[in-house]
Amino acid sequence: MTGRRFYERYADKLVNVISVKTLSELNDYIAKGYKHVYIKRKINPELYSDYDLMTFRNKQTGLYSTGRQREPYMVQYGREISFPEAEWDLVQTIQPYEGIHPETQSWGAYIIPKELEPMESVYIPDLIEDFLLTSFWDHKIRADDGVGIWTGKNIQVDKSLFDSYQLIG
Amino acid sequence: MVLVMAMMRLMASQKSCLKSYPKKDSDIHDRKIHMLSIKGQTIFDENGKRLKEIDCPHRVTTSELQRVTPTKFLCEKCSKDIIDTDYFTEEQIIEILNKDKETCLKINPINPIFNIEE
Repeated sequence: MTGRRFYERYADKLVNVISVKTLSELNDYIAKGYKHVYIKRKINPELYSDYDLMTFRNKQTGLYSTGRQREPYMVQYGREISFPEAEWDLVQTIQPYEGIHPETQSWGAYIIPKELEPMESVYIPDLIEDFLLTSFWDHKIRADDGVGIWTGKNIQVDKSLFDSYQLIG
Repeated sequence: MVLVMAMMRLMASQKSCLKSYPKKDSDIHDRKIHMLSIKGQTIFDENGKRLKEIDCPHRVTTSELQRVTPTKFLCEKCSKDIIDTDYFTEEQIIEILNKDKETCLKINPINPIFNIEE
């Protein structure tokens, strides 16, 4: 699950960094003389959900269904569901990954604006890496955008901003 | 909308709420139940009544909190409990704040019961 663009308020205050996800886009920018940072995307273990997603098959009808446990539990709109062993075979259990899996998108690149000086802060509207923004119930929320610093070699994303995402007081 | 609000109240009032979940991911983003508004550091109810200032003098962050129950954290800086509003309804939060405005809250901006105004 991905979050909203929570840090958009920085868009007008900082230089914005463009993210590209196709080689043709990246090559276009390189041909125009832009520097870039190539990111090899990785799993962030913090983005695995706190729930299991189970696939069941009904013994009588043969139809498949998904749920979170065999025991009765509530879902939205007051519905209670369960998958008792007498009626359902468990086919598979997975722990959903709530970021963007590297098998779906294995890389991305930040295009460095030509006017950007080293140690300058930037706004990144489309983060390439998977960072945990927050959790809500048993869901993990991926940060869609963020703020970072151009070190001259890399874009260093400010992870401390995500820790202060929730309001306390 | 009314049904969704009723469900949220029901879920938060039951101990089993931690095992309840929105059926689809999009439900979390699509629900518009903004009964509580946050403008700057102030929480207002839907009638515009000021409920509380969110102003931690220690600027505590989430990673510094220690969860003591499914719905409460302990803040070691003040030795005070912090209510995790993810598991409370709007009415419950209003009731808690009406009893004690100094109650500390942890508010998740992604929680659809809060409307955060820039």
